[in-house]
Amino acid sequence: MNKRLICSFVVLIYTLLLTGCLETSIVDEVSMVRAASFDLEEDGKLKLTVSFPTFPDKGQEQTLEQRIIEATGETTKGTKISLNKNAQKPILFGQVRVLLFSQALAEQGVEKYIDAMYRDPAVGNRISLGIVEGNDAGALLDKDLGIGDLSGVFLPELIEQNQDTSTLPPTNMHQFLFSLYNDGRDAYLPLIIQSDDKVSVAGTALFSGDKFHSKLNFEDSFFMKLLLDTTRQGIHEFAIEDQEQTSYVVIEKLNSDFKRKLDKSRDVPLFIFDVKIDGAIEDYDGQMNLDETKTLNKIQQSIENQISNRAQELLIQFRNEGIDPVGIGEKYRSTTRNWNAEQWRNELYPSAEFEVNVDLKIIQSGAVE
Amino acid sequence: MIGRWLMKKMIDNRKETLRDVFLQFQQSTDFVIYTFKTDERMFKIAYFQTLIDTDRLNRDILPSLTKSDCKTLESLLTEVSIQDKEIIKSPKDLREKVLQGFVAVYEGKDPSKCAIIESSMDSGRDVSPPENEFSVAGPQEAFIESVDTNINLIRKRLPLAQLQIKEMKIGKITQTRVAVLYIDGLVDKDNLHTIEQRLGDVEFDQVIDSSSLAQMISDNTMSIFPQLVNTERPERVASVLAEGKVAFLADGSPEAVFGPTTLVEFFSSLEDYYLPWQIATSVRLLRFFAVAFSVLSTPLYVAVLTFHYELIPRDLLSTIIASRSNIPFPPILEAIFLELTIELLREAGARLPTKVGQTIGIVGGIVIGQASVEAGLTSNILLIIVALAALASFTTPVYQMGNTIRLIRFPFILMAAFLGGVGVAFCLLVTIVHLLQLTSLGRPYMEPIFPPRFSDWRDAFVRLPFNWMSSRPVYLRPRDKGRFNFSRAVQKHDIDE
Amino acid sequence: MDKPIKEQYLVSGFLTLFLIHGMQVGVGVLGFQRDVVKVAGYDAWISVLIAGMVVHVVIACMYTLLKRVDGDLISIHHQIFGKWVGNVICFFVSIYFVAKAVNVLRTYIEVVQVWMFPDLPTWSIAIVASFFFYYVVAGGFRSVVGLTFLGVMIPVAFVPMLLLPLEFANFINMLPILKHSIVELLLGAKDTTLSFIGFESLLLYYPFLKNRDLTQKWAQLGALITNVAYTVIMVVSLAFFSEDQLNKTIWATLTLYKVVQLPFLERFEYIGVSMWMFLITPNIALALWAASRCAKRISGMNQRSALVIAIVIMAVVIILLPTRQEVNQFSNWVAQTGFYFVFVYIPLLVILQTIALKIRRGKHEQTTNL
Repeated sequence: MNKRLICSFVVLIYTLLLTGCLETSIVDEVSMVRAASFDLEEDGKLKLTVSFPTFPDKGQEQTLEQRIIEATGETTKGTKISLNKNAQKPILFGQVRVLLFSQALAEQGVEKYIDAMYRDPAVGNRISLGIVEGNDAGALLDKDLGIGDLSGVFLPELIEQNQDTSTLPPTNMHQFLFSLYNDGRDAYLPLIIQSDDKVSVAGTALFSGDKFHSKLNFEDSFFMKLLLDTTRQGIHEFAIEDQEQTSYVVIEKLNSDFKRKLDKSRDVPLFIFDVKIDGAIEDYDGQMNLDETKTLNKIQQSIENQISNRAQELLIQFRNEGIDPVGIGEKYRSTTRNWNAEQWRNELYPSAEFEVNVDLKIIQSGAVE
Repeated sequence: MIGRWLMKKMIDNRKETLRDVFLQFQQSTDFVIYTFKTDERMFKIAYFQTLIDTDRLNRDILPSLTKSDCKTLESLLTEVSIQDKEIIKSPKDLREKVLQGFVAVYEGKDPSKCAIIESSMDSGRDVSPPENEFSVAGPQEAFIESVDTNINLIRKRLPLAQLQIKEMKIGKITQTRVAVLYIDGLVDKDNLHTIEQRLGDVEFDQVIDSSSLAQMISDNTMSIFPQLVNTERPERVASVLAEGKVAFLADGSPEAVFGPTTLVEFFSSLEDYYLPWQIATSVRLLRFFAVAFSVLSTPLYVAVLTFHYELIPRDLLSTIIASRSNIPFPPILEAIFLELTIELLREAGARLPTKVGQTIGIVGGIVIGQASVEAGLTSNILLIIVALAALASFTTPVYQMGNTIRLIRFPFILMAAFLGGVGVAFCLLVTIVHLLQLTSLGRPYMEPIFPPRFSDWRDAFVRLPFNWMSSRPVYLRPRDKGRFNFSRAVQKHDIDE
Repeated sequence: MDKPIKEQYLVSGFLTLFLIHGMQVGVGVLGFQRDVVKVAGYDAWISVLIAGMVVHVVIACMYTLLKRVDGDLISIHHQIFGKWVGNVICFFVSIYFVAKAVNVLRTYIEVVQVWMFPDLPTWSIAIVASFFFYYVVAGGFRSVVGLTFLGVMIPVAFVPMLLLPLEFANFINMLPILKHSIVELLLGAKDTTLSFIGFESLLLYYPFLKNRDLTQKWAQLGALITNVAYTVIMVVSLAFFSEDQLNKTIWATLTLYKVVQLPFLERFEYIGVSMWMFLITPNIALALWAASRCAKRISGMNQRSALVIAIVIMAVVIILLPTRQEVNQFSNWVAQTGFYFVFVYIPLLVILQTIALKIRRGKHEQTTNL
């Protein structure tokens, strides 16, 4: 009995002695990157800009400040290491929340950069990714947003907020890689634009493989979202054309669900999307009386048509451009036993046809008449 | 030295006479011998004046001695109105009795027999409310230092012929009376034999308190976990005896010890049975949470801040970094510093008189804590965690287990600093394996968790209503399993019956 | 010839459930998805189910063997092959269990090194673990069973966590079902071997069970729980990852944990890796116990000394496997051996035993006829 206890005691002491030299990452002795951006230098090198909070040592008021460091290099890993050259504390990526890529870089392909992050176990899977219009994503991190928030906090929240309130189709690093490594789907990322004094979300950047392909504006991003994801508690404004005057109606508490069906009975595959939406009218600036079932039906009809027309146009546009952000290929794959990605891409997809049926239910029309 | 002297004396005993005993006693100044001489006889009375009650001596014994019609010791004894009295011949008995506060009466210089009359001074205190195991509800009586009073307190609660008491003397020097209590017909004979045998085998020269005795007879004396429960509440002993456990009391010790026990029993308080079962269950669960919190919170803080910064939720990150940004030490030193401060306060508070102790606790806690945060030695988040952990460790109802929990956090903290989360998990694993291997009087310590006995879960982590506890705990192997007839207790009546 | 185990060392029959399940679930489950998907694609979950069913059959085989002899693997070997050949085979079985312990421990160290501490020295953990496992196994079979029981019960809390990644589930990945041929599915099933083996230690601890004839239902139930758990994990992984993504992900289960986010915890997989220790220690402890018990039965040596030898071998081999490639190589080797031992050799033993019994009975009848 004694022997055994002494043994276990030795174990503890031994561990202490042996492992006492593990590399630590004490929170206040490292620089925790919150946001990082990838740019393409003119000579084809990668420029990595990171933003991390620092704490001025003096004084009792513990205020956060932000530091920006940039480095250039050939590979992500190498650039990450050279970031340390001008950092006071070691740079770590475990708390990174957002990765930004300039459009110029994205046109060359982003896989190797994202893959390097995916391989790093310290980096989370839920982090947001974004494409910045232009060729200088690093400038975005350094921008004085004038709102008191640091870019490392502001940017991820900006993206997440817009995805949660259901205007942008949702994506994060995991979902991006899921689509990227999926032969029946193409990836997309939120698109961010910067002007002199503000940063805003502008829509969706569509990818073909790992390369930036085209942009989709804010309005169309919403229609795309209806086709590939369920919406919860969203809000959207629709224009109603009525006898040459345009009125606007805002639908809130917008919930949507969608079903994809495939009709293979014809010689070209026909994809049918059934989108079910319900919501409540919050704001309406037109002249009609909303209490009348007829008017309400009219508005409903008008919105339904709008959505289905625009969605169909989008699907055809995607088809013509050879990209597939909504996962048409995935649907086709799920119904065929001899799936061939090449054949799908080159023969079947370009000939596919689409039909979008929208069923809108307005369940309540505001508390005020 | 004393031991050897005693040994020598004991060997000498064989030929020693009563007179030798008196001679030996006379070396102490508090031993007195008086002579009462009448015409026909000469009685000598001898006693330790520090051990006897002089009032009783004067009132009950001396008048009989001076009466002239008492001619022999036998007739003297019939006169004296004290119950405990006899004639003895053996020097060994004489020594023992006189040292217990008996008065010896004998004739002549070298007597062959001696009358002894009980006249001991009762210097014990009265039965008072429990202090360590305080409870709001329930009886407010605690054991005192006299084993007879203590047995009386238990017997009053268990007026049974089957409540049996076996007495033995332990300790070569202290000769402490130890009473083993059990209810015949309920107790598992193995448990009883184990405890009797182990008590009989104790060869330590002094037994000061029942808790030291409990340590000597534990199954694994190297373990940091207590394997027998100490209690100062008579009703707790009565209640465990009725479950089929064995308890023992030592003279001079205001605590009873009982066993076999399990880990979870240390976290159950008798108050759990006085409160409604829903409340008792919640309180018990709260205690288990408190133990987990107390043991794991500081190590996890150290582990996360030293190695796993990725785990910190984004909203907490700024707060944590800000609170640590001025601290010059790594988290491990910071944590050890604060933990030691708390332990110091606790120890100082325990040693000081109650009122001063409280002041020290409050002043020390607030002032030192606040000052060390302001001086930038510790972060205020850690201060909160350590204070809460200390608070949580006080919820354990049994004092011994509370101490264990205080101590086992330190290896956890150290391992957290060396191996992060893996270190904490490893410590947890070692603790669990150790607990699995522990036994209490040969019964598994981790029961009812392992071996899994689900019927005992009714009164382990939770406390279910009494009418569900129709049988006694399985692990005690009671010879009579049923507490009451369950089928009668749960008889269903229709709505309008 | 074999002396029966003392009553006080026996454990309840229903603990077989935990012994079977706890021994199966270990380090394999952290990343078995990739290997299966490489062969069976998105029908991998069917492969897992097939493998699970084979496990049930093998358990039934083991009970047939054990009930006929009412002893352990050594008694079976003695019965079939006689003393000498039996002992030689059992020696290899003993080595096999040590190898299994090495594999589990080394893979876990590898996971810790990749996920948490890249600079953690393998040898130090190996030595610390040796002390720890000596402490566990020297506590006797009951101590090992206790660890197994808690090693199953404590991580149960993490099972719901595996359902949280379903937030990103895309079940359409798995359609159409049965795209792959039976051969591919069977090959996929073979690749799950490493995650399923371990239950063969039943052959050694069988004499330690109370009412051992009636424990088969618990054993089968334990295996069933494993099957359900593996199938669920596989289905969740298939819905969560796309095929090429899964092929790039070595420890898919841990990557699944990576998206779990709780209000007080940003990332769950660090807790997952730490607490995984509770799942793997029963594996190693039981394997070491089985190895030392086997050695004791064939050579009559003290089990304590056999344990020390087994642990020293384990520590040395672990230190000799410094790189990922070597670890993988070793894993494959253990998986291969395990496959042939469990899924080929054990059913074969049933046939051999039947023949051996027939011959013996025949001889017996001959002698009685004469």
